[in-house]
Amino acid sequence: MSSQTLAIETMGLSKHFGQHRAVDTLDLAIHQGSVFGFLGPNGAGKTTTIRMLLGLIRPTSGGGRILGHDIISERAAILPHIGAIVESPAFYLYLSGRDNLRALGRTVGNEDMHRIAEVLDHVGLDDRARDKVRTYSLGMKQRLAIAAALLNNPQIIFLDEPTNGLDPAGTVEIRELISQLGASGHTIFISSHLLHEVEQICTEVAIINHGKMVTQGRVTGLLKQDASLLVKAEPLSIVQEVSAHFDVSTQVVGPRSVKVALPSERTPELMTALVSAGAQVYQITPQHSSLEEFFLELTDDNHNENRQPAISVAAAIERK
Amino acid sequence: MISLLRADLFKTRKRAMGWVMLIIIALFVPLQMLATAFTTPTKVNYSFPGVLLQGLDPVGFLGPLLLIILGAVIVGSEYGYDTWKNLLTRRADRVPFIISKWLVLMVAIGIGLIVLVPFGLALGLALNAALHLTGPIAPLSLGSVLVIILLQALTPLMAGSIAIMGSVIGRSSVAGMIAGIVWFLADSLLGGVFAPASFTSSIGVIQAQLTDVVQSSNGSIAQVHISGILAGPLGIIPGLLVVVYLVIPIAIAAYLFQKRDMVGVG
Repeated sequence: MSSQTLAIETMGLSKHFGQHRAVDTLDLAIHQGSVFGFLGPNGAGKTTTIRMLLGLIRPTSGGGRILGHDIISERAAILPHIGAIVESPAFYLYLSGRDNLRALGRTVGNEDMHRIAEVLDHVGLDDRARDKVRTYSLGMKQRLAIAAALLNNPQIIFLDEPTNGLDPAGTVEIRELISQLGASGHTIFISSHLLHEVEQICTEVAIINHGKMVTQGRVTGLLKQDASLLVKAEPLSIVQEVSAHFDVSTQVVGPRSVKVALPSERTPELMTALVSAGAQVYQITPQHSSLEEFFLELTDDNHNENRQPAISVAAAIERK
Repeated sequence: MISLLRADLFKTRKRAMGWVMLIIIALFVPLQMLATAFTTPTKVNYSFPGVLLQGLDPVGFLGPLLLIILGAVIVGSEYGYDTWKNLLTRRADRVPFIISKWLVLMVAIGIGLIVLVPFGLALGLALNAALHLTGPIAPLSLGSVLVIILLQALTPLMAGSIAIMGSVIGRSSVAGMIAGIVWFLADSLLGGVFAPASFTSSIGVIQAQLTDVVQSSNGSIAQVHISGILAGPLGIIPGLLVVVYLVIPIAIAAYLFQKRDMVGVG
């Protein structure tokens, strides 16, 4: 993987707070133009990683590069090309939405009223731009935060939990906005624990747990890795015996149904083997787990107390 | 740096607090002048150029307090609103952020002087004409008055600087206010116990050196004979002390701000 094509990469990135390893030797590789989902349960180290990438906190060890520039020593070269929302949106409540963006523009000596109007229009806040931010709903603040992140027309946009605390309608709104940005060629780094969201938006994902990388890859590739075949056949003992020859696991899910951990490409091979062994095969169906199932499988442990509420929210949104 | 200062002034200007402070201090000017004129008409004389100082009388006690609040709020509110993360992801070097906040204090003091000095002048001349005040004329040249005005501005600046440092250390406005008030009280106490180490006492010494006058705590002015100690080489020490005092809190604030992780409010 050439670093020229990478928007973001980290090499052994670590952050320790005392004895606690918030991020532990993390290696990330994110391609330019991708919509990257950074997944993990609450407290997995997602925000700490983003803060390190943005230079808000210093890594304990390791490092990283954004657009080829070192995240510690070459921040000045990086910052003009990135926009970010870190955790919850933060604004001066006594200023209007427009004035908040003006203040940000002035900070870098580039107060472009035309651009401010453009980004406010882009996030659908033009009609409330003159109202004080303290009167905004959480969804409006999220949209204003996205407008702020877009202000300098960045190449890379970091969105840390962009749909946190939003109602389903607000979530859909933000998701559509992110999809638009992704389609317009920006590299987008989304941290989230809302897996349904990520599955719909992202092209690549990485899953971390307890600060460590669990897996990384293209969404389709990862889900394919986790694919299986649902075999309806009799007798089940033959199915299990044949599957054993393929050296894969099986799981009986019904009176004549077995889940065999083989990718769909191997369906003919399995079918032939089953028929040759004397099994009566009724149906073989490829099974693809959702990202949520995949995530649960990878991050499931007894130590993660925060995982359940996060998944519940995702499930609730999915049900809607 | 200019763009940062413009951003900070924009945020400060839009905050009602700054204007309320200016109104409060401006209300004290006529109150104090009227009270003095009516209670001791034979002891005061609001003549030019000494009258220029009248508008600054309330600054002696209110100025440091208001600058402590301002310094603490302009830095502490960035922690309170959690907006540092927005700013620090736009500019790589952190030190200019603190310098800019310090410059805001200077601009605030400048605005205060521009408003209060002419206000005191107009009011004083009007009172002189209306009440025929017959007190002694303060023995001051215009140059001396301007030097006194500038020196008087240093104490509020110092108090505000301590507040900035306190806000950075404690990551909140309240920490800044506490630091500023504690410093102000401690320095006053130090002035009584060991004056050469006190910032405000050093300002008084420099003022006497430069203007040949001393100003009492109630604002009245008296001419003094400059002693050998004040006029000699040892007179440099208060000046150095003032410079060191002014630089140290901002240097500490900038250093800590540069080195510390910005972990957020969560």
